[in-house]
Amino acid sequence: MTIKKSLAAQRTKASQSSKKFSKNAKRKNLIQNKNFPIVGIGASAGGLEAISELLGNLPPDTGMAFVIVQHLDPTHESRIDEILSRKTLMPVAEIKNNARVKSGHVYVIPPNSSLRISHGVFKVLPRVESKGVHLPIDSFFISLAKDQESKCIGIILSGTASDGTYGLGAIKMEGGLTIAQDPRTAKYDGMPRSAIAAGVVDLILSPKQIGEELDRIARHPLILGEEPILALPIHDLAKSEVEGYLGKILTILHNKCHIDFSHYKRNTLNRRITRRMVLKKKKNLKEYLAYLETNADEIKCLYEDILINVTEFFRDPNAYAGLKTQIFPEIIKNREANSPIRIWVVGCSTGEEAYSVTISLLEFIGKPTSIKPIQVFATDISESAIQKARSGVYPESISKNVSKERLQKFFVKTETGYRIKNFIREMCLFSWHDVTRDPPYAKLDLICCRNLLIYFDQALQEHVLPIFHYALKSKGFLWLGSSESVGKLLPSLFNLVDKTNKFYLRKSTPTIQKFHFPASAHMPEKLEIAKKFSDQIHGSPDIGQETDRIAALTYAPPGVVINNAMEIILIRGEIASYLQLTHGQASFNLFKLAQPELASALRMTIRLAQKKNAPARKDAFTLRVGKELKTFNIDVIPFTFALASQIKERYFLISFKPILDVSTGDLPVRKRGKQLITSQDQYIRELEQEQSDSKSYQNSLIQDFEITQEEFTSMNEELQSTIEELQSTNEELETAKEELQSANEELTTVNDELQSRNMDLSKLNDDLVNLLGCMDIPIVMVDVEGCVRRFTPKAGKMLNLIPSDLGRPISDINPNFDKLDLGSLVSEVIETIAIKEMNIQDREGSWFRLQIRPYKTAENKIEGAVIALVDINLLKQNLIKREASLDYVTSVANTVHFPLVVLDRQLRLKSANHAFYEKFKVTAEDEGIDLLTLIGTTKKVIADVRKALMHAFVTNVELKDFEVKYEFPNSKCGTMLLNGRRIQWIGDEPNALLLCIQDITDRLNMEKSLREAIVKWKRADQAKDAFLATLSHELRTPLTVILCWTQLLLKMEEGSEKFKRGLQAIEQNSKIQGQMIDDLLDISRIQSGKLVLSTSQLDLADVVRTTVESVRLLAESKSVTIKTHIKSLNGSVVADPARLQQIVWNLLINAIKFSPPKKDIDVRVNPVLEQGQHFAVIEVIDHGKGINPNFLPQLFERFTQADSSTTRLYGGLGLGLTIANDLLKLLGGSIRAKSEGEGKGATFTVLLPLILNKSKQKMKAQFEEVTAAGGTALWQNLNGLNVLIVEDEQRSLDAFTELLNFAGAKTISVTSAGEAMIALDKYKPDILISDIAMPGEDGISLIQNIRARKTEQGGQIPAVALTAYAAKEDVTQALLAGFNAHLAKPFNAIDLIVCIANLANGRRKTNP
Amino acid sequence: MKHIFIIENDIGILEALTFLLEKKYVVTTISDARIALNKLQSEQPDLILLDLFMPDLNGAKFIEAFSHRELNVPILVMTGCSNVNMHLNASTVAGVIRKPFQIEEIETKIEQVLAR
Repeated sequence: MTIKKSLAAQRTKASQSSKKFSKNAKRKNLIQNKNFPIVGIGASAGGLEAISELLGNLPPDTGMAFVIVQHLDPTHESRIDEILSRKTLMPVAEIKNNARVKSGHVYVIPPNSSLRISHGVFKVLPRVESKGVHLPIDSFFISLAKDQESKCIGIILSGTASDGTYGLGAIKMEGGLTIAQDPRTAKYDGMPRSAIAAGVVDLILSPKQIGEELDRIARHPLILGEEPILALPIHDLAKSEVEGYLGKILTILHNKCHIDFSHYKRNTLNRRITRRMVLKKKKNLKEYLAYLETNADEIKCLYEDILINVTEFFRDPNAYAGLKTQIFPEIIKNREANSPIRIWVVGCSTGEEAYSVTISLLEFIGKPTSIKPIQVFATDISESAIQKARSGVYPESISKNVSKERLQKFFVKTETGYRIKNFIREMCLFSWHDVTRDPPYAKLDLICCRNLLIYFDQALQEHVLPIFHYALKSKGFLWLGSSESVGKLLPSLFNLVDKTNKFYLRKSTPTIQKFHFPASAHMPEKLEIAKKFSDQIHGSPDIGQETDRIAALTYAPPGVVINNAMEIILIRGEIASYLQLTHGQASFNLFKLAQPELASALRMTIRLAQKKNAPARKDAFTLRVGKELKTFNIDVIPFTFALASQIKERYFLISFKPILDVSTGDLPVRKRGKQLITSQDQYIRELEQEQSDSKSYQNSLIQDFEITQEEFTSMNEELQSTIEELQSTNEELETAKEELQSANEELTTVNDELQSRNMDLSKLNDDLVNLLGCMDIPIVMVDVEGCVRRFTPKAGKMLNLIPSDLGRPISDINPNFDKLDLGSLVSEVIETIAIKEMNIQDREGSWFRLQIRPYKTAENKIEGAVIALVDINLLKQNLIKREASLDYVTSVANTVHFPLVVLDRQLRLKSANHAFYEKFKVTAEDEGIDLLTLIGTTKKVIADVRKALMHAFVTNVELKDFEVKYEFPNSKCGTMLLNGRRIQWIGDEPNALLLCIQDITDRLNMEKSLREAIVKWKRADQAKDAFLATLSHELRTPLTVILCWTQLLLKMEEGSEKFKRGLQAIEQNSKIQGQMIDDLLDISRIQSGKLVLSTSQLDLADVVRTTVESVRLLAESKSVTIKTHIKSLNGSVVADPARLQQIVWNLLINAIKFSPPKKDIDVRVNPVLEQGQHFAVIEVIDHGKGINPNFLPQLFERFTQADSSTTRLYGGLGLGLTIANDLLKLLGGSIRAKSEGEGKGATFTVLLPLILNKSKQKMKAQFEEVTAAGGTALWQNLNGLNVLIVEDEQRSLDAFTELLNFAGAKTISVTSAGEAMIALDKYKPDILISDIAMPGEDGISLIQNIRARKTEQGGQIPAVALTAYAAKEDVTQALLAGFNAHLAKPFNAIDLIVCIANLANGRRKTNP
Repeated sequence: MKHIFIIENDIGILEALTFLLEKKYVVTTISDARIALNKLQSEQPDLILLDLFMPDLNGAKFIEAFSHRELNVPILVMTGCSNVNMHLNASTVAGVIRKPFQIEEIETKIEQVLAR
């Protein structure tokens, strides 16, 4: 309706402008043009640049108005008008609501708004979003097209998405020009491409070219204020002339495109043709026609232009809703079971309508499968539109009309827009079909013919509607466009169901009009062939025929040719004498034209000829013609001939051959003459005779006639019934024919479809062949029997296949692989329908991955198998290499002593090396265990470690030397050093943490002891320096005396008192020196372990007494008294007598040295029981200056005396106590000093193991017995004793065990401190014998640990240390650590036995 | 006659030096450095022969204490140590005699010091 309105508007405007034009025809100023075109420019991203370029190339005087619709940021004020005003001289302004468009102006859309135009006035509306999409270009262009119709130009410039495509379509449909920016020049080519793809673009140009083109168009006469409708006189062409040209154009279209547009509405046609003229720069129709005749492309363009139709999805949504509520339920209700729903969409254009209807129907039905056959025939006469419809691809902007749900359900998203889903596509059959000429489809439920009839004139509409009536089922529906109707003439065919939605129901009246369709109207090839054929038949008659014709005309008698119905169809020669037109209705019936006498003669003769089907003749028939008689022969020659129709018919040639007057004419004359001569009577008789002859003939004729008449009557009756039958048959045939035509049309459509599918398939096949050919993977396809069906060239090489192997069983093929039974593998795969994969090696050793998959058809049927061989040699080699390197890495990891572990993000164990498993007492099965549970117990430690590790994990910063104090459940503490870094790991978690754990406890301990040792060493060094100084001094002092005196003596007289004194001094000092050297040597020997003690059992009392006597003189010289208090020891000590004496002497000398005069020295000897052991004790007590308590602990250390600078009245090196101490240790005894402080005297106590007489004797005896009996007797002391032996060296261990067992003791032998602890708990031994030097925990540590225990846990077990070296420190250390006794290796058996026996004795006494 | 203090704890050396020097000098022998310091309060010798290595108060400490008194008495140090360097830069130390020494050496040294 709007079209009509606007058409009217257009006309008035045009007429106004044409008046103006006539007044001022030569006017140059284009701006004055009131009927100026409006140019809509749509742009988005990258558009500003394009607009600027366009305006820059556009002269300001085009007289057009430019409306720029640019996608703008809705929240910002636009400055685009300012920018553009720099580019053009035209005024640029932002559009105000209700502003009127003026020519020569540039308008810019305000941001955040939608723009419409109505009667040349802008309407600025708030931004409208249709289904979430703001499409301002589309909406403006559509309103522009409606308002301005052909007087507008749409331009789409750079931008993304597809806004503007529909707008351009609307403009083009109204006859406006459409231009898109060349996508190659566009910054963003989405919008131009979309528009071009939709086929709505006339010109594709760069912005510069667009500017120039606009200028050119502006100067085109049709634009320059002309009425665009061609019906008006244009450029001196008369209206009739215009019509003539128009007719020619339509003829060209008819011939080339097989569409007769002559019944299309003239307005539309005119507009389209004008558009093309403007585009092709043709000034008038004549020019355009000439161009059209020579340019086949232009014909096509014009054709497509005329057909341009704007359509969209769900156009007029209310109508679609009505479809669902009113039409579809009826269709479903009326449907016979299992009969398909058939819908015909006429004029489907690019398919949107057809798809919309299908989608609506599917939505209505719900499940698409419930009503299986849905047939939607969609037809159009635009081949390109059909192509587009078939492809089913639409731009993104359809989302404006198609809801999200529908998009999701029925469309597939593609890169540029949406593609209709296949199941919809398959229901629609698209076909080229001219509804005005081609037979319609039949038995349809719904015909959808919207906005097609508006292009047809009344006649054509009246032609088409009955066709629809015919095509529909009895209760079928017709759906027309909103501005269409079935018209006034044809309401008898359809009932209006819904006025707004234009739904019509077919009335069940018979179709009023029979219509005929030329067969295969749209198959030009056929037509052309037929034409050629007829040309051949009718063309170029030859000379012979012409001669025949002349001869026949000249010499043949006159005659006529009649058909079986006795109608004259050909007249030859002058027949006026024989046949004449008579009064009454005109007829070509031979008998009606002939005179009655002649007619009967003719009838008889023809009948004769008919009967015989051979020529018949009536001789010498006389006929009165006017006043003369004519005598002639009548010849009737029957013949058959095919005229016009293909069927042969019988014809009769009737010729009248006159008998010449001379020869034949005289006979009657003569007769008559005779008659005249003879008599009147004769003549009367003759006449009577003749009359009776005639009468009898008449009678016979009458009889004949009567018979004939009867026959005729019955025949007539028969004929009548036959005719009835024939008529009904004919009717049936007509119907059948129509049905057949419909069926044929359908078949053609289906065929079309199939052909296009076939093309797809062959393309697919080509693709497949090419794919297989270029694929470097050997692939073999076999059928169910395992016979080769297809293989790639590479497979041929690999598996020794040649083309002739096709169809042979695969098991017959001898591939390049040993032990590969392809046949059985294939049959296994086919049976199990499971993919089979394996790695195989060919004869050259290359690796391949063999993959056999079942060959599944689309119906999921197994129809063989596909064998693929992938060359994985490189992969495999890499794998082997990788495995080797992995092996290498693993070996390295497992070889290093440091525990290495890989953790996941939760700090759980992923992998670890042997050292780790060993250290943390876990196994590979503990994977996943939390590391933190392994390394420490305190929460603080765990938190710290977790933090540090996570930091390393997250930041990828190496964790360096992180110290962790740990505490194991077995109460072992220590320090660990953690080093870690993030590494790549295989598996789901790509990152892992490699952690190296270093137990530095030992190192730290070592460092600590080292530091201590250094301190000690430094002290010792200082002491040594001091000692050396002392030594130097002490050694030089006697030497000085000796030297001095020697020199003095040399100068002195012999025998004098002084001389004597000098000699004495020399002697004394020499002795001192000697003593000092002895001491030094002793020290040296003891230190180096070279001191040889010749021990024997001694009576200690004797030794003490002797020694005291030896110093008594010295004591007396100092007025000191030595008092001895000796108790009976009832035993003896094992010692070196000389050394023992030395010890006691040293003590006594010291006591004397430090005792002031008149003070006593007490010497006591006592037996004593200490820690269950018997000792002999010597005490030397003085009352001298005493010892500084601070100094006491160092008293017995070497070189310490020098520090104290103790006053030595008697000189010496002060090594006496050290030597005494060392010696005593060697003897198994000890010495200790005690002082109450300085000036309070000192007590020195010596302890020596005491061998009680009784045991001594017994042992001695037993020992002797052992020796004598060769080891059969038992040692009572050891009998039943439980001895724990700790010794890392197996040989020694065995020896001890044997010895002790021999001695009657039970032994528990272990090789490490750890085991010893366990044995201690388990066996509760009586005695412990332990080696000191052991790997790991040594004997010292062991005894310390034991002594730390409670007594009931064996903490006080008597223990003997065994040392390989008898260095004093070691011995001391051992004893200090808690050993009760010490034995230096090598020792003899008796020593050990004695030692143990002693200890056992003590134990027995304390623990009875 | 010049007066010489001999401070030495070894009786043998004292005897020998007394015997050697008493013919030429007045010799006072002191076996304890503490006593010597006391004695120096009352009388001042011309020379002190000092053993460095003595118990209780050794030679070095004696020199230190002696230096504080600012007595202009030269000291000849006798030592058996090989590395004598402690406090011997004190101005009062006139020389060092290493043990064992030759009689002539000590006589010459004493004469030299006294001659200054």
